[in-house]
Amino acid sequence: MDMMRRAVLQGMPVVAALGTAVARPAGAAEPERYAMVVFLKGSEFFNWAYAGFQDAAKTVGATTELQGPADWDASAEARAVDQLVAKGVKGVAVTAGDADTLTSSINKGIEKGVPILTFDSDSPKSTRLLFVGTNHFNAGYAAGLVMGKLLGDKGRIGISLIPGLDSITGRVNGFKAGMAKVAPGATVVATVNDEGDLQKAETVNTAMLQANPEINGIFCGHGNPATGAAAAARNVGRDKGDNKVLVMGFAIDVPILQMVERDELVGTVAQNPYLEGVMCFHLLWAAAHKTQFDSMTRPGFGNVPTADLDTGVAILLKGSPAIKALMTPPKI
Amino acid sequence: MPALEIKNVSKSFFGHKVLTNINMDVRKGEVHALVGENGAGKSTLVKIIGGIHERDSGEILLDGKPVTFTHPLQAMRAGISIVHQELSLVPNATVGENVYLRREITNRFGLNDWAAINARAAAVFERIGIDIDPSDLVGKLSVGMQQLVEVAKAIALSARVIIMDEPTSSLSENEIPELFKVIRGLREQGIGIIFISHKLSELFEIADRVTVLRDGELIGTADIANISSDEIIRMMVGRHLGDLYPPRGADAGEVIFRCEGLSRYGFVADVDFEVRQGEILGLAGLVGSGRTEAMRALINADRRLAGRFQMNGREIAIDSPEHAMQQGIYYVSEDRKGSGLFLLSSVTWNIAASCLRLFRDRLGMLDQGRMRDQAEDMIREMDIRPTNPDVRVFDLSGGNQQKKVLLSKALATHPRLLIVDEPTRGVDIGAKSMIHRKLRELADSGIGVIVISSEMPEVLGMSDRVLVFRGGRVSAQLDNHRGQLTQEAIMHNATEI
Amino acid sequence: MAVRLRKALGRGMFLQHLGLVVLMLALGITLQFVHDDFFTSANLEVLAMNRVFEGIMALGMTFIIISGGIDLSVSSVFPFAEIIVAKLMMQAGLPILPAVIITLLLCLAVGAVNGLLINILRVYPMVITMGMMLTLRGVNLAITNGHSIAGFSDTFLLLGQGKVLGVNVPIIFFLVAALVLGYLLRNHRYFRQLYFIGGGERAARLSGVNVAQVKVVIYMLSSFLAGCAGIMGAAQYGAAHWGHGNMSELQAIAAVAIGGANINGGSGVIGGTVLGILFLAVVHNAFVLSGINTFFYDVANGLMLILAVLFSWYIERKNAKGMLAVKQRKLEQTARGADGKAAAFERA
Repeated sequence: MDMMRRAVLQGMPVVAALGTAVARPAGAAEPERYAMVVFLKGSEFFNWAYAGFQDAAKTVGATTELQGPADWDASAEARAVDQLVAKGVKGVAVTAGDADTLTSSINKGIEKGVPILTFDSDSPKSTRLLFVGTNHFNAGYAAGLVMGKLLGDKGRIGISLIPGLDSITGRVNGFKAGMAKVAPGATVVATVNDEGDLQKAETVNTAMLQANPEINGIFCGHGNPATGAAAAARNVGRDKGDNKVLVMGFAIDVPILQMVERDELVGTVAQNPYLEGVMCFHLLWAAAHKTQFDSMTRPGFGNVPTADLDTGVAILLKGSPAIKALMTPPKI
Repeated sequence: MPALEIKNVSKSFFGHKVLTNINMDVRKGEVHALVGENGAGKSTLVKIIGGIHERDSGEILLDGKPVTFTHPLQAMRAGISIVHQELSLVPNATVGENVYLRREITNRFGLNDWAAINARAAAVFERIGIDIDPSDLVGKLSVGMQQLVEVAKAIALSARVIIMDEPTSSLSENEIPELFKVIRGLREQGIGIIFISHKLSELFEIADRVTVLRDGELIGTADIANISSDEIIRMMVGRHLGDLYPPRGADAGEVIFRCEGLSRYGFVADVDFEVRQGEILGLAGLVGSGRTEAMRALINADRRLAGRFQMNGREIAIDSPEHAMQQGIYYVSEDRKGSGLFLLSSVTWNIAASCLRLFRDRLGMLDQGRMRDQAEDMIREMDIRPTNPDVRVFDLSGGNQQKKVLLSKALATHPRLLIVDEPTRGVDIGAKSMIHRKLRELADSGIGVIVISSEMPEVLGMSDRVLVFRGGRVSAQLDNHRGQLTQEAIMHNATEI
Repeated sequence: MAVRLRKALGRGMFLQHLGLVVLMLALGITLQFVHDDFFTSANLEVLAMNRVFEGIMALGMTFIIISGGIDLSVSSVFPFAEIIVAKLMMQAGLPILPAVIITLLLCLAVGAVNGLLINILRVYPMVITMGMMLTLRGVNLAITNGHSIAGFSDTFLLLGQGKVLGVNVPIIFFLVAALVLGYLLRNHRYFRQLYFIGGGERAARLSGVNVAQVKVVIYMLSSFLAGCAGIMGAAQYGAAHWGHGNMSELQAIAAVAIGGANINGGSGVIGGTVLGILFLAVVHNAFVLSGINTFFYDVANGLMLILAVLFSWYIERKNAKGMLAVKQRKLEQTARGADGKAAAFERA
C-alpha cells in the first residue's frame, strides 16, 4: 500500500500542474495558437522577442507559447518543433541553435502545412518561409564603422566570440569590412573563444590583453562577453585614461546598458529583438491566413516576402535615448 | 574415519600467534560444538577450514585426504560450507538461484533453466524437511528462513562438513527449534557439523561433543554427556593470571555517578549501576552483549530509549556527547581511527580537540602556544614518543602511541567520569601497564572510571567491581573486595546456561 | 501470469509498476479529454521520439545501476558517436557500414576505459564517468570547432527518420533492445551476477564472481548503446553537433530510478526502466500539450526523482527496523535476575 501511496505522490506534481489546463472554459471558440522556439529560454534577448511576438498576437486575439531548452541544445529545439507541429499550432517561429539540426524538423513541419520561419539564427538549408532578424554582416558593419571612427588607423582590435556560429561569423566579417571602410590601417590582432560563459569571457579576454598589449579595442561578437571584456580591461589596468581599451558590446541586457552609461563600455550593438518578434508574428499570421491570392512561391500558404527581413541594429553610445527605454525588462 | 581432521594447525598474523597447534576432529553425523571466549581463535580456525585464510603449519584432512585451500570456493567445492553469522545471500535473486549461486543449471547459451533449478532446490528443501518456495525472492523471507536457505545451499553443494557460526543469534524464539530440527536431520545424513555458540544451553540440547579454545590454544575436547557447564566454563577461562596489574585501591568512597533504567531500542534494557570515588568499574561480557551500546546510549551518541542519571547526588540530563562532555563525562571509543583521532592533524590538535574552548580568547581565536604547552605536558605524562607535539598522528608508530594520544585527549577535558572502551586493544605489554597505571591513578584521584574490556585478565586485574552483560542486560554485579570476582563467575554470567 | 510476475518482481516493485501504468493512463485520458489530441498517432510518435534516445541509454544504465555503479558519460558519448560517424562518412568518405562499425568500436573502447579506470583507481564511478563526460565533451568541441556536420546521404538518414511498419527506426531499436536485454538480465547467468555484485561486492567476489570483468563489460555495453543512439540521432536530426544530448544522462538515471531500481544497487528490472522512460515522456508531453511553461517540467522531473530515491530509502529503513524489532523482542523476553546469581558466588 506504500507503493500506491508513493505512486500517487509521484503523480501529484504532474496532476497539479495539469489542473490549470483542465480549467478551460467549455464551449468558447479556441483562439489560434502560435509558438516561438528558442535555444536559450529565459534569456533577456529572447524574452524581448517573445514580448513582441505576444504583443502582436494580442492585437488579433491569438495566443502564443514559448518552448525550447535553456542550454543551447539544438536537438531539443528540433524536438520541440516536432511536438508543436504535431500539436497543431498555427505557426512556429524558431531561432536555430544549430542550422543543420533544425533542418529536417522545419521541413517536416512545412510539409504538413504549418507556417514556419526562422529568426535571429537562420537555418538556411531548410524550407522555412523566410528569415527575420539582424543581418549579421550589416550589424557587424555598423559596429565596425563606429569603432573605426573612434580609433582610426591606430585601431588594434581583439574579438571575443564563440566559434562555429554562423551569426557570429557574419558579424565579424561585417565588422572587419566596416572598420576597413573608415580606417583602413586598423587591424584585427587576436580572436578568443569565450565559450558563451561569463566567467570564461573574463579569463580569456584578460589573457588576450596580456598577450597582445597593442590592442586598444575589443569587439564582442555576441552578448555574453561584454562584462568579461570590460573586467579584463580593468584587470590589466586599462579601463581609464589614455591607455583605455574601448570595448564594444553586443547586447541590450540592462547591466550592459548601465555599463555604457558608466563609460565601462564605449557602446553596444543593439539588435531589435522586439521588432523581430512582432514581425515574426505578423508574417506567420499572413502565411496562415490565405487571402484571395495564394503565395506565388509557396502554394498553400499566404503571401510573405521571400527575401530575408533585416530588422537592423542601432549602435547605442552613452546618452542614446533608446538606452532608457530598454532598461525596463519586457512584460511577458 | 572422521569427516574432518585438524592436525597441529597454527596461524600467526603479523608475528602475533593466534592459533597454536590445534588438534580437532569432526566425525560424520556429529554435531561438534566449538566454544571459547572473545579472541580465543574460533573464527580464525573456522576461516582457515573454510579457505578464507591459509594456515601457517599443520594439516587438514577431509575424509582422510589432506587438503589445502587458497580460496573459499575451493573449500566449498570440496564439501566444506560455512553458514556465516552475516548471511551472504543475494536479496534480489530467487531462493533457487541463491541455493545454486554460481552453479546455476543453464542451457547451451548460458540461460538459466529455471524449472530445473527450482526442482532441484525443492528437492533439497524436502530432504531437510522445510517448506520454502524456490521462486520467492530471498529478500522477502524472514531471517530464520534465510538461514535455512543457507543451509540448503550447503547441502546442494554436497557438503560433508557444515560450519555454523552463532546461527541462533538472529533467530526468534520459534525459529530456533526449526533450525535444530534441520540440524538433527543433517546429522542423520552423516554430515559433520561444527556449531559455534556462546549459549551453553543450546550446546547441551544439540551437540554431541564440545571443543574448548582459549588464547589460541586447544584446552580440550569432551563428550557433552560427560561434562558440566561449570567445567566448560573453567576450561574457557582457567588461566594463570600474571601480576601485570597495579594493586587495587582501598575501599571506595562516595557515589559519583548513578544510572538507572538505561535502555536502547533493540540493544540494551534496564541497566542500573553506580560508580564510586576511587574505584574502577569494569564492564565484562561477550562481544555483542551490549556494553559499548549501553555506554554510547548513556552519552546519547546513539538514541537512548530511557535512562535517569545522577552526578554527585544531583539529577542530570545527558542530551548529547557534547552535553556529556560539558558535564564532565567523557567516552573514549574503542575505534581509534573511526571515532577517535584525526589522523592528519598533529598531536597538539588532537589532544586539544575536545577542549578547544579552554584556549579561546574573547574574539574566538585560539591560543596555539598554550595548546602546545598542554600537549607537551601530556606527552610527558603519558610517555608519548616521538615527543614532538607537531607530529601528525598518522605518523605515530602505531597502536601504542595513538592510543595514548586518544587518552590524552580525554584527560585534557578534566573529566569527572571517564568511560574507556577497550583501553589496551592493539597495544603491547609495555604500554598496556602504563595505561593501566594511569587509569588507577585517575581513580585514586577521585575521578570515576568505567572500563569496558573483552580481555578477561584485564577486567579482573583492573576492576574493583564488575558488571557482567548478557544479551543487552546486566546479568550480575561482582565485587572484588568481597571475593566474588573470578573468571569463572564472569564467564558463568556472560553465557547462557 | 500476473501472479508469476508479482513473485518475480516482489510485491513492492510490482505495485510500483502498476502505479506507473495507472498514472500514465490517467494522464493520457485526461489529456485526451481536455485537448483531444493525445491519442493521435502524430502525438504518440512525437511523445516516443522525444525520449527514445534517453530510453536507449537508460537500458544500459539499468545494468550499471543494479551493479551499484553509475555512468554519467553517456550524454557525451551520444554526440561523440554522432560526430565520429559523421566525420567518417563526410570527411573520410567511408560508406555507411564501416563508418558505423568503427564508431561503435570506439564507443566500446570508451566504455572499456570507464570500466578499467573504475577497477584500477577504485574511485566512485560517479567521479570517473563524470571525468569521461567532460573529457569527451571537450573532444567533441575540439574536433568540430563548434560547427555541426551535416549533409548525410538519404540512406543514412533512414537510420533515424525511416519507418518500419509505420514506427520510427529508433523506437523499434529501443523496443527490440529492451526485449533482448530484459530477457538476458532475467535469465542469463552472466548478467544475473549484477544482482550479486549489487548486493555486496565482497561477498560476490568470495562467491567466485569476476567482479572486475563484469564491470568492464557493462560499462562497454552502456557506451555501446549510447553510441547506437548517437548514430541514430545524427540520422534523425540530419546533423551531428556537440551540444546534442545535453543532460540526457540525468533523464536516463531518472528513468531507472522511477522504474523502481534502488539507486544504490542490488535491484531493478528492464521493464521498470521502460515504464520509467515512458512515464517521463508522457509527463513531458502533457506539459507540451497544455502549453504550461516547460521550466515546470524540470521541476516536476526533479521532484519525481527525489521521490523515487526517498522511496528506496524508506524501504531500506523499514527492513532495518524489522530486524531491530526482532532484537528488541528478544531483549524483552530475557528475565532479570542478576542478584540471585551473584549471591551464589559469594564466598564465606
